[in-house]
Amino acid sequence: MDLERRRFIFWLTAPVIVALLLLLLYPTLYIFYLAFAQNKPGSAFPLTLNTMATVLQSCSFWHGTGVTLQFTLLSTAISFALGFSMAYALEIVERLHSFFVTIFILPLAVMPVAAALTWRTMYDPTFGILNYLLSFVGVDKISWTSNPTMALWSVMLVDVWQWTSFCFLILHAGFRTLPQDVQEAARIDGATAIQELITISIPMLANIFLITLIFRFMEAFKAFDGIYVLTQGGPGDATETLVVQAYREAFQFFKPEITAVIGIWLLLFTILCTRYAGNRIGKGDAT
Amino acid sequence: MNITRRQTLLTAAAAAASVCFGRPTFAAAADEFAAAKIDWRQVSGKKINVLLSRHPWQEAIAPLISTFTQLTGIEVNLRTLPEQQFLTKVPADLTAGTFQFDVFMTQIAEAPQFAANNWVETIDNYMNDKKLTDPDWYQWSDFFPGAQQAATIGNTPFANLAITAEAQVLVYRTDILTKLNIVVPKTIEEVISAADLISQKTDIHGVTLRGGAALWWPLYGFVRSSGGDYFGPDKAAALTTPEAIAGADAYVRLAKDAPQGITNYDWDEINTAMLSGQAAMFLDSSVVYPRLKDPNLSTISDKIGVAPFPAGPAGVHPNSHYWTISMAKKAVEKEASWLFMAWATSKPIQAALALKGVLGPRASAWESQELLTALGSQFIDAVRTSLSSAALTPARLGFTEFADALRSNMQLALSGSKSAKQAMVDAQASWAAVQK
Repeated sequence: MDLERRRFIFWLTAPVIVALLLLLLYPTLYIFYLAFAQNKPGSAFPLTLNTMATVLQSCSFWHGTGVTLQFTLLSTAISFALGFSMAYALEIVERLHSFFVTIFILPLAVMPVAAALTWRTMYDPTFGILNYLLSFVGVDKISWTSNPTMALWSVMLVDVWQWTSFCFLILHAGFRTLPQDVQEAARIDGATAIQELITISIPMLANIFLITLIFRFMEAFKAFDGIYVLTQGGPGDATETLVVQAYREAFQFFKPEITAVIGIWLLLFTILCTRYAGNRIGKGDAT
Repeated sequence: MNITRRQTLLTAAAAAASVCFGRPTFAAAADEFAAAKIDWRQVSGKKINVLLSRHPWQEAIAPLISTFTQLTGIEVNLRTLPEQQFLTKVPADLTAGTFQFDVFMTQIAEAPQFAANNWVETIDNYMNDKKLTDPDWYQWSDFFPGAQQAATIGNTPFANLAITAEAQVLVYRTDILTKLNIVVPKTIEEVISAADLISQKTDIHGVTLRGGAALWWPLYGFVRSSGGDYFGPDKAAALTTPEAIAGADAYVRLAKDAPQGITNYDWDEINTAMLSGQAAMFLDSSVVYPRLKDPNLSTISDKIGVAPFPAGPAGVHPNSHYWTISMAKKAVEKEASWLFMAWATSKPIQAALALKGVLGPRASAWESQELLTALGSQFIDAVRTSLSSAALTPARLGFTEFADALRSNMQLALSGSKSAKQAMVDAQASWAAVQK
């Protein structure tokens, strides 16, 4: 019986393990191989740091890192703030509650590329609806995606638009889990709405906030669709994040080893940035 | 995503063109093939795999392939992919060694890379084999000089047969030029002042130009006509010569009269700008013309004029482009593959394709009376004149990266944050850094 049971468990998990090994472990190891393999024939040692050094010495890598961080941090912060206000507002608004929830999570249901193409049309300086509407208040035509300083904000706006829904959805669910009696008790004790929010709701939701921020951060960090559709990293290199750079190195310049190095850095960045939070949540669950 | 929309338009254009110019009969061609002193059925019963990118050429030739099978007894398994997937899949499969096709479309800019990786078969020995090719019938000399150069571009082995011929031409709105009393510009400076005038006097833009990823293509015509080049005789980048800078500067000055946001404009967008009447002039590939003349697609079909590329200080040197077909090194049925390539690039097929609006690399195909009636002598003359002195893409290893360095710096010049000179100096420097 025991053997039978163990076999059953083995066969149940085997597909997952095989799939993980094939789809996760193998590509990851292969990336490391690509990044560090010595491809000059005749050298004694099979590994090299040359590719890594090339990438670290190139201005475009550091420029890309700057753009990526700017994009990720700002996009995460803005969409989190917006998602939070929307979720909190729905705690107060009672009427048409489900209508608003549906509207707010709609952008999540749109395919990123389709959304980006729609935005691309809206951003068009000549035919786009944004410049048309702005013309009524006397604003001159804005080059949304072709002005080097404006372009990053424009692609960020699309990312914020799409992922605010995600922040809203998780935070909204979080607010719904708050026990009503604590809030009532606070109100009876004469706490104002602000006091209640800051001293009761937010601390109770801290872990939910962290989860939202981590996921949102990772999403923004690897944003690709919107940027590629709107600007392909241009004008110049104004919107060239590391992910866009990695794509171009591999599929336009046929330099998979450079992409591998960028991939390793992306992995390290993500691990560094999310480890603390991950640990905290892990502990929170344990207690 | 661009590509998808572009492809849709191209497909629509080709379909429409075939309705306009298409000749229902193809019976005459059978006799023309019989005139070749080779046995077309020598490898009858073999099967070849052909991979094409979606393109007006592919749209036009696909329906004719059954006549190839009738002629030779060779079965053709045809696969077609949208351009974007095609350009990704071909090198990826060739790298991995899983490429399954005998004959496939190639672009001249890729030739050095394909040759360096030993992916394509040298084909002049098939062309010189009397058993497979009748030289008097095939007439290699009938190909435009540029098309002949495309076969061995960048000092590669003879591996690419040109299938299309495109040259940079000036397309303009006759109504607007007449209204403002502008004579059709003959020099680049005249184009710039005409564009300025149109932008000032009317509410449409003087010109539409590429400013996106592929801006290197039209820019090359400006640089060459100004006496510069992308690469010097020593094969090193030559972007900082006064002539090359002058070409880039003319491009940037002209771009001031283009619609806002041209750093997002590539082939598709400049076409749309013309088709929708946003811009009055266009300095890009001649393939656009049949589409602009098509009343089903174009709002301006009766107001379109076309002229040869305008002259710069060093003469008329527009850029040109040839799509080519090549045989895979690992092709199984090499003789059958060659017969297909020879058939596809033969005089009768080229003539049939030209009538469908897809102009090819053979001079003879341009001479038919029917073609002249269908497209008009102004267009045929403009393209022929442009092709006769056209420059050919300076293909070499790493060209994509070179083009990208050029794009990223020229975009900053186009959006006014850098001078054209600075852009060329910086592009030269960043290309040098990649080369290290």
